[in-house]
Amino acid sequence: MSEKLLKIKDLELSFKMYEGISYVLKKINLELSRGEKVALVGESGSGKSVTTKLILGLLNQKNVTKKGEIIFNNKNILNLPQKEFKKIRGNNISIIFQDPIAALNPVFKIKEQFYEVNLNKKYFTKKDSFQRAAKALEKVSIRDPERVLESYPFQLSGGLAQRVVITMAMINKPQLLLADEPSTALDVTIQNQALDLMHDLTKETNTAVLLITHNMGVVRKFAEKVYVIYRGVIVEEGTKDQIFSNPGHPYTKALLSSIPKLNSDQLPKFDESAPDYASIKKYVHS
Amino acid sequence: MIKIKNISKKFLVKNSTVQALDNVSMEIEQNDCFAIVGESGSGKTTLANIILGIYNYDNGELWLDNNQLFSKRNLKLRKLIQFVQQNPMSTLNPKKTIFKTISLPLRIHKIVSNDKVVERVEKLLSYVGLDTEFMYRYPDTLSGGQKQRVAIARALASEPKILILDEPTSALDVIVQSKVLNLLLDIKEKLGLTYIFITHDLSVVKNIANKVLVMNKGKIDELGITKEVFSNPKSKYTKTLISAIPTVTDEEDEIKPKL
Amino acid sequence: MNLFKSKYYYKFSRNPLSVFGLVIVIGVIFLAIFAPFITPFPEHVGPFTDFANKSKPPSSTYIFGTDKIGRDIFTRCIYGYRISLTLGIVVLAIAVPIGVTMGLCAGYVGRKTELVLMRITDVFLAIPALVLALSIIGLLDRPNLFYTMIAVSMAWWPWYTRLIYNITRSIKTEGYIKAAEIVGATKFHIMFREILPNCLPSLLTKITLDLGFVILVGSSLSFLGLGAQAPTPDLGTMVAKGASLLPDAWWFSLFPGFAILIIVLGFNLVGDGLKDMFDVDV
Repeated sequence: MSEKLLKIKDLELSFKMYEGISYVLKKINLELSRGEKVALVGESGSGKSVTTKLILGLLNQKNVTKKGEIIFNNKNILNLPQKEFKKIRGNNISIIFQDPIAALNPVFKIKEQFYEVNLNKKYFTKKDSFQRAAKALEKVSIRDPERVLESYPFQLSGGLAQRVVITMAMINKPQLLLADEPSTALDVTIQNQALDLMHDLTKETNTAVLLITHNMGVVRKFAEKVYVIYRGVIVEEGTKDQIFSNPGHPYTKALLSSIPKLNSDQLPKFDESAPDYASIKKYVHS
Repeated sequence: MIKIKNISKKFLVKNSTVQALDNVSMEIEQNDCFAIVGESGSGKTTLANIILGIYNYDNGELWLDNNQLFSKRNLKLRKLIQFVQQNPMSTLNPKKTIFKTISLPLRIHKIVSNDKVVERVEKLLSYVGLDTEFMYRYPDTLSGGQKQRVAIARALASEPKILILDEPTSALDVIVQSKVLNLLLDIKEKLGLTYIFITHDLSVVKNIANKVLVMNKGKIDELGITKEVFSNPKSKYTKTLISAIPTVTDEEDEIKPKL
Repeated sequence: MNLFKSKYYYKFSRNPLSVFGLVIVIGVIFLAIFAPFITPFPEHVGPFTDFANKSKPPSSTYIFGTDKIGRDIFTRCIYGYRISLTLGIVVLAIAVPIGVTMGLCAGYVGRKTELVLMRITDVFLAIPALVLALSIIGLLDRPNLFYTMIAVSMAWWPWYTRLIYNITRSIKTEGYIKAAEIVGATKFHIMFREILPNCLPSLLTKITLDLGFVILVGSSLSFLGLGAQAPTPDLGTMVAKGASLLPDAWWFSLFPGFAILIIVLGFNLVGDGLKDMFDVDV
């Protein structure tokens, strides 16, 4: 019986396209314990977003080839039939996306969207669902939950919408929360509020969080453990302190050094002689 | 160089008016790298659009040296202020080659004679670090960073004096961002340009701008020399913005203002 | 444009129906162009009578039989394709430029221009194509192919205005349009050199589908006695002439009717294939 909530083993993903085969994930390994906050950080094209899609069972087209294992609660869910996935999604595994307003259905009021989520936990009457949702919103310091529930998504500000989305994702106390660039579309001040909210809620329910992002600052603020991914390969793995104080792999070093620093007056100079990061061996901190 | 005197602008949105800019004034001098910082709704984009001539302003004055600017302006004035947008994905016409995109301003403003157009496009591409083989390619074969470089080359084509850059690197990966920012500073020096740099990223501001303007809900919150504003922020809002920066080192954390 | 060829051709060729449609269309065009060399009795197309061989059922000499005055129906069907294709091409050659220009202006220039142009378009759109064409022909002298083409064009252009207007409005807010405005491009340049190229996939798809529909509407008008006059072979007219003689001289109407079916089907299949290939909605 394994301790780990989520164990990704030698996961491979490729797409067959007109131009040829595109190898997106090349044998990645990743682990999450219960209640652990883990960041998967990489740039665009690294494969970080498709990883969440695979965890949710969302990539099933004909031209997709998957290999390896995704073990959740001691069960390999990589090729689980959709019927089984429906039970897991929204219940055991929840997800928040980058743009909160786009993630909500524009033609339904917030209360109706909560209703759909509440059905998973058998809150069948609309009245019960409304009350459950209102209580949850109140708990996250939303002062007039009834008004918010009666609103449409476009009537909410970005920050408020993200709080709503986070609450919705957490209302069924999932074991795993996937957060795909949850703060990128938000203003900086709101960003921190959203991250704090995620932190508080997940601590309470001992929910593990897999945070997908390209923003190292956000990683430093939120994560306990970090995986750095580059072009479908995990190049470094370590605790937050290890990665930020003592980055090992040249790619991680490049990522950190290219960020403009608050305590400097000049841009970091860019090193033109960038090596092929994917060919350099993975760095594992001891 | 650019003088903005008491400019205000209202928008009518669904039966209510939004005061996008409220009596703002500032001066941008030659060779400045003037940063405009603010969150969404601060008015920074509206201000840029007014300087570019996309919107007209309700009251106030806008001057470029001795010329008063309005949204209707002649080609001679229009070519002097050019623009690089935030989103590289939609800034290039997908049905036009890179050559056609960059040569358009060359032709409109008759910068060079027809037989010298190809030569000039090659030169512009070299300014932004792109090979001539990019000339006849279509945007869908370019990466985000490459697209943004093309956008910069296009902006430089009309030989402007002032470049307005609206979050030019926010949509790019961190490493690419660094390359493009360095490139922008190089070009600024080489060609003697003035930049108006709109961004929400205060770390970038600290590293590249000599003056910074903080905007909040259409009003000027703070305006001054970058070094001073950062070492001694006067307004609470500015202090909040600086503290909220997602920093990556302990040294940076230490110099953040305590709220 | 040659960048399109490889990726798009691949997508198109995966759909057997589209390829079948393309074969039909190319076949029909080929037949129409080379009609004098393919058909056994090209002289039957002009003023010709042969009462000795009138109303003969299909045989080895006359593959589709002969009509009331002894002309070979097979030959006349193939030549009939010339009329159909000419009708389709001319109608769209008139309707498309008018409709596209109006749609671009209304969509991009906006305000009063948009109001005026789109209300005019709405009026035309409210009347069914056939009815509108009939009314216009009614206003003109006596019916002939030329007037039919004009009338059908007048009924057709509004659909292009609507299509291009919608696309223009959605593209108008894209970054590259704003960039062109800031760079100093004229409205004309933006409409025709920035926006129009982005309308081409939808436009080409619609034109292909419309070729079939125009031919259908044209044939319906010929059926009613309008359209090309005797002795020019017109598929719709041929169907009409034989309608009263059904079911005895069944070959009078069946073959021309079938010919119409084939060409309309061909254009529809190709059009649907293009729709999938470009992934557009017209």
